[in-house]
Amino acid sequence: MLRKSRNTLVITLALLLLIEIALQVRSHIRFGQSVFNALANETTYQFNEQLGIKLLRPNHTLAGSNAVITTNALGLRDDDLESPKPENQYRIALVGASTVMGTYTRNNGDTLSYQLQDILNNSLDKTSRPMRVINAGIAGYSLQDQRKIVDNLLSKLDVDHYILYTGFNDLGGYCKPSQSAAEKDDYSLPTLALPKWLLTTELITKNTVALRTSLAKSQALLNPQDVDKSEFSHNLEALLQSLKRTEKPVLVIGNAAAFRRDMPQEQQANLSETARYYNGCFDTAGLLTLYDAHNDMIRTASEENGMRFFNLQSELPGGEEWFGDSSHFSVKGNKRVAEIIAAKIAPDLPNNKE
Amino acid sequence: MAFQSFHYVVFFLVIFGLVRGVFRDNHDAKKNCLLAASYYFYMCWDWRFAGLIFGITLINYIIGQKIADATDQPKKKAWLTLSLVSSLGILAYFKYTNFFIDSFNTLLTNLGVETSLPLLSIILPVGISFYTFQSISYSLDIYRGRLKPVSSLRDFSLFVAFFPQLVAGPIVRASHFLPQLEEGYKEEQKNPVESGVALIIRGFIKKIAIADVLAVHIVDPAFASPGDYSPWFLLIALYAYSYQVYMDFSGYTDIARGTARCLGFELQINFDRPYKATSIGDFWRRWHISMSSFFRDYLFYGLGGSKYGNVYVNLFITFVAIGVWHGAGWNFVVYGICHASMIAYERWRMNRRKAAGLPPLEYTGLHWIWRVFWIFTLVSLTRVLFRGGSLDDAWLYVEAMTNFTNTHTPIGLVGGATLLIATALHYTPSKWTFEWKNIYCRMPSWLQAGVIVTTTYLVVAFSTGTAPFIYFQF
Repeated sequence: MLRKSRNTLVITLALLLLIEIALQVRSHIRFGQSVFNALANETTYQFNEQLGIKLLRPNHTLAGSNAVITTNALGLRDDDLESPKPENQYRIALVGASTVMGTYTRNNGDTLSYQLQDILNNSLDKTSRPMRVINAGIAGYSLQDQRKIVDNLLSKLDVDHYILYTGFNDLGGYCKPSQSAAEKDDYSLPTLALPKWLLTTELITKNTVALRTSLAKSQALLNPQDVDKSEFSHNLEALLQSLKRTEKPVLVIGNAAAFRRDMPQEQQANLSETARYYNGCFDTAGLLTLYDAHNDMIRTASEENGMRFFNLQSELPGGEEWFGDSSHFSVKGNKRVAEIIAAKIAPDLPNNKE
Repeated sequence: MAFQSFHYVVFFLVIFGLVRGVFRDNHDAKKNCLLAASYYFYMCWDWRFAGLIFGITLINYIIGQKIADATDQPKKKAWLTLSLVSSLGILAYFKYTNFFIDSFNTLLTNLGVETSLPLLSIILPVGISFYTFQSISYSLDIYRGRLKPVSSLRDFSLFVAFFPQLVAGPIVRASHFLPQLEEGYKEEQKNPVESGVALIIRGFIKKIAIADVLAVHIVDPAFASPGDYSPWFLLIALYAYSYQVYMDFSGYTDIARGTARCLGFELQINFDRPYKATSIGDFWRRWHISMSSFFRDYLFYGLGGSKYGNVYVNLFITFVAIGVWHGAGWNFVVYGICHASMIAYERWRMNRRKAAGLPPLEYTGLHWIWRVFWIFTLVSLTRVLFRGGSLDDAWLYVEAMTNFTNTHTPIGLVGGATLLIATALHYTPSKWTFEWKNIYCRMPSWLQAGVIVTTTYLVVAFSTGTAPFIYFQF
């Protein structure tokens, strides 16, 4: 009687394990990233104690059939920077998170920074100084992380110009109860949770968002007007202050999303799936309102700090052609965004002023 | 520690391994292990209330012995009164204090008195209604001579705190559970572990793939802002809520019964296809059976039932108590009154037929279908009181149901399909349910494993991660 149950249990655990291993292998083959990296002590990211920030593993290549990420000595997805800076070189740092780092890009050449550098050096043909665009985006970076990379790393690289594309990572915090509030009323014993690196759960939950979200508005969702945006505002101001202290020109870009209000409901729902996966307490309409509110805050703060601002949301169309998911650009999107940024930044580049 | 959490899976597997493996031949160690596990399970919710559950256990354990030892009826009655006052007093403090204060304040305001008493900051311990009733059933059964007091405090503590049914029932009777703790007790089921797992799988599918989906796609939006939707959507949402609460609670019961069975214990059935009822009385014989039978046996019969006193008064008292057991609010009082009124009317009609020499009504064919639909509709309509947070909320919902200018009916594919599946599952022949258990038990191990893995992935796909079982709040 119990032997059969024991066999069932063993086979169940073996099946769950095998499926997870298969997914990890698949991820390793396609993207060069999996739990095996950690087992081989070759994690994709490393915390740089000296600089106090998380960066990519320096001088490393994460090679998969779908994407190759090559990092430089600094731990950025970029080629090595010459040191000291060549006399005539004009350095632009593109600061941000995963969108800047290049999610959905096959290699470093597809990234936004590389595309921008290419356009500035070749297509515009208006500058005499060679342009070097630094990819200063690391996936998962919040505004605080972006401030740290400006203060602790970029400030030492003799950057001439900054471009800021913050991304949406800070919005995820609205869906999590604040640490203090959660701890205050918590008298439960500690419990075990599934490890975050499990691909089985990530794959299932990411692809089944529609099952867990309604066409109608639910009471479980937050009203974007009601969320406390003071922390975002504070962190944004701190980041802009750091950039201001560099006394270099700064171009701030409002964030763009793949889904738009003028699209049919179903298309909006499809395109917003990953955004709703990461920000489960908002529906599609709520996310759009939230994005607008944050872009307004970014615009106001930039203008107050004397920085140039433009909203990419109104310059780049939505849809699958330009976006790989809810917020990350496709390869084609990266090229288009690079063209838009190049056109916006061109008047401020040294040669045009001359 | 929710049943649908990873922590519970690990916890259950460890306890299962200890009870069925390590302590298989050591009866005392098995019980010690289960008692420790049950307290740990409860402390995972809130460790402060472990003392409360032990306190209620100790009171009823001592009083049970005192009742049995008492030589005359007045003394027995005095001890029983002490048991009821202390146990129900604790329940009343945690569950109803603020309700009474709030009602008193409203009364003062209506009388023109400006002062108001402040509400107290009281946290409702999870499962308190269940384990309190379970404890007092022990004292009541001893008082009525149906049960002898248990000699072991450990055994009685395990009966009160047994983790599978601790937080949301079924409300287990001591006379049903305590004999299962005796050494040499023979398990009822031929394949307890496999049939237990079959029950657990069914429970998870009911809870995660049906109840939670109905909540997200239809019920929660309708009750969050009823004014935004058409009367048709709101009516469908009431039917959907009926299925949600049934699938949620019977799903919990299935998991509880399955877990207990895997560990060698049998808990009683709590539901018998309640929406197949042909009368409101029939509905209560099929819905939350362990609770409704508790109120029937200990309150309705205690008041005189249909033999002594006024049966209609006894019915009203019983059903208001049932309503209030669910929660501290006038909406639950009105919910109880509604059901009492309907049952009283049914009884009055039945008595008239009897007096006229007519046989009891029997429903067949289309008449049965219509009757079942009518009773289901009546039950669903009263659910507006059950689901709404207050009488005002319920009234807002009813008001919105009369606004025929609103045509917004956002029922998507997922919500609509789930509602149809819930209906189909509920009205399948009952024997199919038993057949599922047999089919699962006959499967080879590799196929059973495939079913468990598929269920696990379904749980991950459908789980919102935020939806506790509805009856945890009671």
